[in-house]
Order: sequence, then C-alpha cells, then structure tokens
Amino acid sequence: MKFRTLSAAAVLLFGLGGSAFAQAQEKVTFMAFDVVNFRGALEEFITEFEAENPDVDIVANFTPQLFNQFLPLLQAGNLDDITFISSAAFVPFLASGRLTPVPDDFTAKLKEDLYPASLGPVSRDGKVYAVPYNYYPSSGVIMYNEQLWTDAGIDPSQAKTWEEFMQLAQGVTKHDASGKMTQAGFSAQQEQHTIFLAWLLQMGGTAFDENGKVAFNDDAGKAALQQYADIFQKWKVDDYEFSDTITGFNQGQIAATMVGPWYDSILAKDHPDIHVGHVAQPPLPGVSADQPDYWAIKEVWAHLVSADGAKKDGTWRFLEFLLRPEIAARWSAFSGEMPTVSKALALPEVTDTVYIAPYVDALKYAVTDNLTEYLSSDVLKEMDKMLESVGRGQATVDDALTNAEVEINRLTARMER
Amino acid sequence: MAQSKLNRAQSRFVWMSLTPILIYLVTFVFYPFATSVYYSLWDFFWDEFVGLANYKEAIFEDSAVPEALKNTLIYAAIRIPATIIPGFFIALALNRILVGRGFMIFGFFAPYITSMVAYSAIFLYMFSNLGLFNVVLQALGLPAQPFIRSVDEALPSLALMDAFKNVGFDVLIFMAALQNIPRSLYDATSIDGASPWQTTWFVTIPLVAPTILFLVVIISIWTIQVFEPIYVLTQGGPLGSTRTVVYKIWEAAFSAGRVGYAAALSVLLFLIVGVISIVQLRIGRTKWEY
Repeated sequence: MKFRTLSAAAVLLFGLGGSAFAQAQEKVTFMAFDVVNFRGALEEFITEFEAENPDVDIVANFTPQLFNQFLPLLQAGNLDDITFISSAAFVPFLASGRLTPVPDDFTAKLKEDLYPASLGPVSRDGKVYAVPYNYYPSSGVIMYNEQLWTDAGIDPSQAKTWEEFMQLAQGVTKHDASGKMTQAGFSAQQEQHTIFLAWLLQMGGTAFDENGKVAFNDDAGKAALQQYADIFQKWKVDDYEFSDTITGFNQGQIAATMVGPWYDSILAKDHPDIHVGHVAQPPLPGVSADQPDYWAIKEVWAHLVSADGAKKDGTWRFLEFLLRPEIAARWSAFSGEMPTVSKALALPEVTDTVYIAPYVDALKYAVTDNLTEYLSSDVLKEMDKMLESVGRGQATVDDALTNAEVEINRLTARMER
Repeated sequence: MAQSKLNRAQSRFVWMSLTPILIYLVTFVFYPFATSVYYSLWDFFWDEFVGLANYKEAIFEDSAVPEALKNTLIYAAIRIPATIIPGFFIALALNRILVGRGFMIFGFFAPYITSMVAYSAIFLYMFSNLGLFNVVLQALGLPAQPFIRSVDEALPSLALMDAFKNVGFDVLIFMAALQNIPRSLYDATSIDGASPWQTTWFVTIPLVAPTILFLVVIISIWTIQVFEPIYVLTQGGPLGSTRTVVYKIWEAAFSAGRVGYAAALSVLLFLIVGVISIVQLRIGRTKWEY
C-alpha cells in the first residue's frame, strides 16, 4: 500500500515536473531555406544553442519553397518567429510599414558588430527591421575554370583593364564549324542585374532617386549597359542561346563568370574536379584604376523576426548566438556566404577558405546605395529584361533603358503611395 | 394525398442526392470564385479597397499581360493540333492492329500519366547543349539548336513537349469514338470503291467530329491554364517569350506578393476561358452536326 502510494506520488510529481519543465521551455519557431549548405550548418548551430540553452526549443522548418511561402504567410500574419530569408523578399513590406523594427538595444549591438553596408538593405528611415547575416557579393571577383584557361595558354590575371580581360576571354571562347558557340569565355547571365548595378556605381551612377524613380537612364547607366551589351555583341564571349551560367560552368563549357562565393562552395562540394581560380574585376573603360571596384549590396540574407517572435526572449538569445564571430565564420565556411559580422572576417574559417578569402578584400568597396528599398522581385525582372534585350541584340541601349524606366517607375510608384 | 406524399419523398430524395454535390460546389467552386472576385478589388499591400484598379492595370497598363495572353494563345494554337491530328491517326492505325495493340496503347498513354514536373525535368536535359535532341541533330549533320534558350524556339518547344506527353489521351478518346462507328458504313464505302483516304475523309472524320470538338474544348481549357512546364523549364523566359497568363498570375501572387492583382488576372482568365469555350461549342454545333 505504502509502495503504491509512493509510486503514485512519484508519478504525479514527475508528471507535474515534466509539464512544468515543458512550460518553462520556450518554443521558438524558425523557418529557413532547405538547401544542403544552409540546412547542414543551421541544424548544427541549433543543436549547439539548445545544449547551451536547455530552456529554449528551436523548432526548425526548412522549406525549399521559402520565397513562395513567405509573402502569403506574412500577409496572413502566420510567419514563424524567425524567418531567415533574402532581404529582397521583404522589401515591399519594409515600405508598407507592417514589419516591427528590431528593438533599440539589439540594433545598437548590430551597429557595433556588423559590417556597415549590411544594414542598408534591412533599414528604412533610420530603423533596422531584420538581423542581416550574410552578404550576397555577386560581382567584384571573377571566378574562372583553371583548366580551360591553361588549355588555351592564357592567364586571366594578366588583364589590367576590362577590355584586356574581354580580349583574353575571346581566346578561350570556342565555336563549331557553323559558328555556334561551344565554349563561352565569360558568362554574366546568372547575376546580370547585380553586375549591372555594380558597374553603374563604378561608372559614377546611381539606381534610384529619393522618390524611388529610376535614376539610371543617364550617361552612367548607358555606359554600364553598353559594357554589358558588349559582352555579347562586341566581344562575343557569351551567348544567351548557348547555355546558362551555372549549367555551363558545371559542364566545363564556360571559362569564367562573376557569381559569388555561394556558388564556389557548391562547386567545391558537387564538382571537386573543377579547379576554380579568382581574379579581381579589372577597371571598366573610363574608370580610373585607382577607383575602387564598387560592388552593390542589392540584398543580404537576414533573420526577420515576427511580432510574436519579438516578444520571446529565446528569439533574441538565438540570434545573439548566431552573431558570435566564431559561429558566423563557421557559417561562412559551410555555406559559402560572406558573413556580416566584422570580427568573423579575420577568423581562419574565413581567411583560409579559398572561395571566401578573395571576396574579403572587395568587402571594403561594398555599397548599399539606395538600391534595396526598391529592388522588389518584379523590379529586378524588369531590370533583367532590359539587360537580356540588349544582350540578345533585340533592343538598343537607349530603348531598353527607356522601357525599363517606364515599367520600373510604374512598379515603384505603388510602394510610394 | 398519396401523390403528395410521394412527391415529398421524391423531393427529399432529390435534395439528399444533391446536397453532397451542392456542398462540393459551394466549397470548391462558388466560394473560391467569389473570394477571388472580392480579393481582386483589394490591394493587400496597403490593405486598401481599390475597386476596379487591378483590372484597369491588367487591361491597360501592364504590358506583360497582353504579351502573356498572346503567348498563351500561340501555345494553345500549337499544342491543340499537335495532339489531336497525330492522336487521330495513331488511333486509326491502332484500331486496325490486332496484335500488340494493348502494349502500344500503353506506350502512348504512359507519358500522359507521368507527372508533368518529372517529365519537364527530363526534357530540361534533353533540350540542353549536350542533350539528346542536339546530339541527334549534330549526328545528322544539322546545327545544334538553343530550344528553350531561344526567344523564337522556347514556346514551340514547350508546346510540342506538352503535346507529345498528352497525345496518349487523345488516342484513347479517338479509339473509343472509332469503335462506335458502325462497320456497315465502311462495308458500304468499300463496295462503292472508295480509297482509304476517301473513307477517312468522308466517313470517319465526320463521325468523330463531336469527339474532335470535345477534345478541342477540353484541351483549350487545359492549355490556357498551362503552368508546370513553364515553371520548371523557363520561368517565363527568355525575355518573357514563355510567360503565359497563369504563370503571370503565379508571379503576381507569389513572386511580387500582389494577391489582389493576381485575383483580378484570375477572374479575367476565367472570362477568357468561358468565352473561348462558348465560341468553340457554338462553332461545333452549327457546322459539325451530322
């Protein structure tokens, strides 16, 4: 009898204790993109964080449909506590004022710890709306297939100007008997709008005025767009009808490109047989060799905190954990993304990773400009259309710029109502 | 009195039979449609009632909409005859084959029951520079083609791929129609000395005309709503040359986050499909009645 009473009491106590523990353990939901280089690193970090913080349970939801799910979830008010997503995805909602700014004390920490240009894409009117975690540096550094250049007996680092680089790239470009391209010397298609924006800055231009109207239909814009068209029309080292950048580079049909370290990391894992070299982008015509190779921060990947998530202590503790320099550096090495945490840039995980290190030097030239408030996906599509139409020779530079100006101004006007 | 009780019982039976269908229609047809119409009058970005502004933008301002409509109609114009004509002749041939017919029907029907996403993914490789089509072309001494990377070739490539996938459906429907044609009509044409071509043209085709009309209507409705191959293979490119109306709706809703605008486009698409279907049915009724 006594034993049974004691057992019942023990069960009751255990039950109560268990439920009390369960109540004390704060659940923080976390949604992120389901790609191998993201998921692997983030799952590892979550395990480490929970070991350090047993009172917080991070419930991760990895989805390959992140971008398609994000906007409907946001509109329905059903976002997870934290969503790790590209800043481009929530640009329209920054403008709408529906997002809650990051608390002041956390903003102060971000301003202290992060590289300054990373805050631009998630800020508006002096307020920070998300926690930037990595850059998206798609220009500034040319990556090339060492084998293809060696086979052609050409060293891409010999080019001192962009025109010289294009001439060298012509030597690596191949055609069949009918004149069809079989190997591209340089492909710009994958990140065409990022490259255009970077070149616009390098030419002394800017993308938008303070009212969100297109400001690149000017001499700088024409010069940048002409350089882009020349890749296809003058130098003929790339062809839209030949191959897309990623497939072509993977298949050894594209000799050089500017994509970014994320692609380097995937190549290192999936195509270890392709040896990739890196050279800085030489200066464009009319740009002094002394002028920095500005590259445009059109977006960062950032942790977006929902209104419910902002009320949870566990949310901010988890984000603080992720922003530790050693965690950010490991994130960088694993994912191939450039960390936003300044101190992480000096750690061996970053400096010793062959596909991250070349971009660290370029980082000092990163410019947010006033791009990101207006670069929604439909605006980027119009920009891509402009670039592709001149690349394919279906529009003149002047016509393409004018058409893009009309369409983009129509789209940005909605956000400025 | 007995009559009245019977009517009540009949009435109850009718209502009981109709109730599940009504629930289905209300839940999955009328309610979503009414919601779409309601959403189409809003801009959710600003949580603002905008009346017909989304329709005005779609019809008069957004240049991508008429382009998408044109692409959709071109796609349908290629896709519909590209399944119906081969489907008819394949069915005609299979109708005369006695050995291995089931196997051959399965061969034509297998792509139809394959997932469009999986099927498109396979064609992604077949259309590439090193893909099957270019390997064959080059083996024949012909120049390689860009297919889905060309502004001119992308839409026809997708429409023909779609047609090849679905030809088995047409074959099956035509075979059912051909088996309903009385044998005596063929015997009579044979006695009259008609050639096989004359028999096909003057007997078979008129008798399967209602089937052709059915296929034209149903395939028109399907092709006007084409989405998966565009999503998997071209994302509307190159240069918007494969952006169809449904892909444009998807872009508006999920890429640009403009649910109200996407709803307005959906309502317009519904009207277009409705008008095309009515026109097709009227044409069929007046000309092809036999």
